[in-house]
Amino acid sequence: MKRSNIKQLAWRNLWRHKTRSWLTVSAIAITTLLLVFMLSFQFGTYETMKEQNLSLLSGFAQVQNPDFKEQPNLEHGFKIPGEWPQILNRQKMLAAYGFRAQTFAILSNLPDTRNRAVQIIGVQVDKEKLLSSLSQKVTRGDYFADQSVKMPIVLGKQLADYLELKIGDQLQLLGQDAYGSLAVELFTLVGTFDLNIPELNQQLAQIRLSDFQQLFAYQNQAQQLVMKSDKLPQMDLFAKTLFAQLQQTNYPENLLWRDWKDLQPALYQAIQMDIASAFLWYSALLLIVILIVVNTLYMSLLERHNEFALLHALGMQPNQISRMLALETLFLILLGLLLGWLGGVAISAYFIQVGINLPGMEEMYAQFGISGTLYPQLSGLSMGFVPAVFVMAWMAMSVVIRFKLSGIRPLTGRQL
Amino acid sequence: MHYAPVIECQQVCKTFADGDSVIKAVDQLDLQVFSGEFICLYGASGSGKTTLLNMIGGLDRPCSGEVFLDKHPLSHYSDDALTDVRLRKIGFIFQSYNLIPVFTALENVAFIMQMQGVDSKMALSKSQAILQKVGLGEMLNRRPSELSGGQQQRVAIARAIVAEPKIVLADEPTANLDSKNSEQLLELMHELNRDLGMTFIISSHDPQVIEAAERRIELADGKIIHDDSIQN
Ligand SMILES: Nc1ncnc2c1ncn2[C@@H]1O[C@H](COP(=O)(O)OP(=O)(O)OP(=O)(O)O)[C@@H](O)[C@H]1O
Ligand SMILES: [Mg+2]
Repeated sequence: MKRSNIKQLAWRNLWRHKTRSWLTVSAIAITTLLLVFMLSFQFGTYETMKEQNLSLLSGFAQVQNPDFKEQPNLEHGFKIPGEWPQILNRQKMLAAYGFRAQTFAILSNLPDTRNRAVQIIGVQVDKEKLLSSLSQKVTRGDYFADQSVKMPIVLGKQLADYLELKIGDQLQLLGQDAYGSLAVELFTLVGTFDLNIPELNQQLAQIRLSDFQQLFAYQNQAQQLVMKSDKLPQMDLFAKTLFAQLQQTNYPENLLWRDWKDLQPALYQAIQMDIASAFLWYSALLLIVILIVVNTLYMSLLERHNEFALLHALGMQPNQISRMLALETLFLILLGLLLGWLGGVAISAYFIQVGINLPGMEEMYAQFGISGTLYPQLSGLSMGFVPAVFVMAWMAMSVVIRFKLSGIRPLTGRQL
Repeated sequence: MHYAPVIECQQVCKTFADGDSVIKAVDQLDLQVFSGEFICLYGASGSGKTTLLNMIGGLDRPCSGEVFLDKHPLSHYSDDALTDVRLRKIGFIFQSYNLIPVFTALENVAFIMQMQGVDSKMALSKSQAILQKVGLGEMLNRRPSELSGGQQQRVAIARAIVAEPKIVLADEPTANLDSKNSEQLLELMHELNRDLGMTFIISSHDPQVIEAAERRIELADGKIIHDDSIQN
């Protein structure tokens, strides 16, 4: 028997119970639409979360002294090899990089009425502007724009407020250099930034790396090489080769490559948890819909036993009958998938254009340094997950159908 | 007759377990059917007509004995091969017409040829011709639910003969029809038997059918107690 006849028969059979078939198709379509959109939205959110959060300070990856992770002090830095800038500039996919050094110091205002221990980060200003979004979050003054200022410093908004400093005011830094000697210097406040994260606004100060190196006797040294690619996933593509080159020129000093998951474990875990719990719900939803399909199938098997026996009596082989039934189920699934998938992709594509603002979610996202509009992301996973699950479920159903119909007897006059 | 029978039953038995006792539905039955015969099987209810037809048609297998179709013993065929034998050599007409509800009259008939692998166009044109022959030329595109019982049974006959099987088996084909329809149907089967030389074996209680048959075989308790061809 030709396949096309079986297909024709299957297709006709599908519309024997129009309402029932449409209900099943609708259930599949709605679930598919919902899940395609939800997955797109979810992964879009993660991408935004990761990129915005990592762009703030940590970058997409860093190279550090291996001990810096546990003890981030001046002892655990590295000499910046002369070849590194060349190597780094050669990387086509590397969008930005910069060296940083950091330590703790006490800042006080000049009347010395207020002081606070803060984290001082030395940055390469021009590189940092490409590397970190902090430079765009300067709300008062500017980000080291005036070259003529001698010892410029940029502070978190709350920190400046606490120290009662205005732009242009001087303040004193008191710390310890790399050799344990006292480091004292007067700085001029040139800008304050607002990162939306209170701890950072209260704790963070940035100065130029050259000033840092001079002040803390850290000539030609740094603790972090911070790197960024255009898109986060690109970073992994060249990480290995780049790191190998860097290590080679830096031999015999040890270096450690830290990817974003290592740099921001809390963010990584939050995302993993979110994925896990979401997929639990998605699986439950899919299971319900698959059970609806199985139910439709099962009703067919029961109701149409005599019909199958008739077809068998007339000369149709059991495997042809099961193929027919499997095809009916496949048509049902494909129809639902097609409608739902097109809907889901269309809605996602629309929101990719216009973005989504979710009222009430800002607070949660602010935690991770995210502000503003979210954009869904259509990926292989978001578009392929639901179809893949249904196709696998269909394959399982086909096996069951085949098994159930393998023992069918031809219709005899007696069964009527 | 000198040529070989299309169907031969040798010592065919079929028993069913009924609780503790055993029912011999067909009991050591011998039968030869020759090409082109028009046979009516009759006998009391429970005499084994359906059981015998089922075994001849390859729908059921005997407990012992052998059914030969064109000299081939059916017991040598696997289930799948037997299914294929049914498809290619036997036409079935059931008591309640048993059409495929989602197919039109034309598609129901063409379906058999399509199952045999015949080109769709050809299957459809041949089916149309057959339906015209059985007087349903105007109702090709009606679904079974849109046809009367007699019309449905005529579609069933068209389906049974469209692929020109060697043998047509009909189990009480007129049981659900009134006498006028029965007569027309019988007429039709006779005509097909005459014109196309198909062998018909019909089981029936219907005196009309028994009357019209060329060879009458009476069954009782699974045995043949009367056979026209032997009497003569
Ligand atoms: N599947 C079965 N299980 C048990 N007994 C059966 C089965 N099929 C048939 N029988 C018995 O075998 C005997 C012959 O049945 P069969 O259906 O062949 O008779 P029949 O001549 O066709 O009768 P009817 O004229 O009523 O159709 C009956 O006694 C019946 O009860
Ligand atoms: Mg019977």
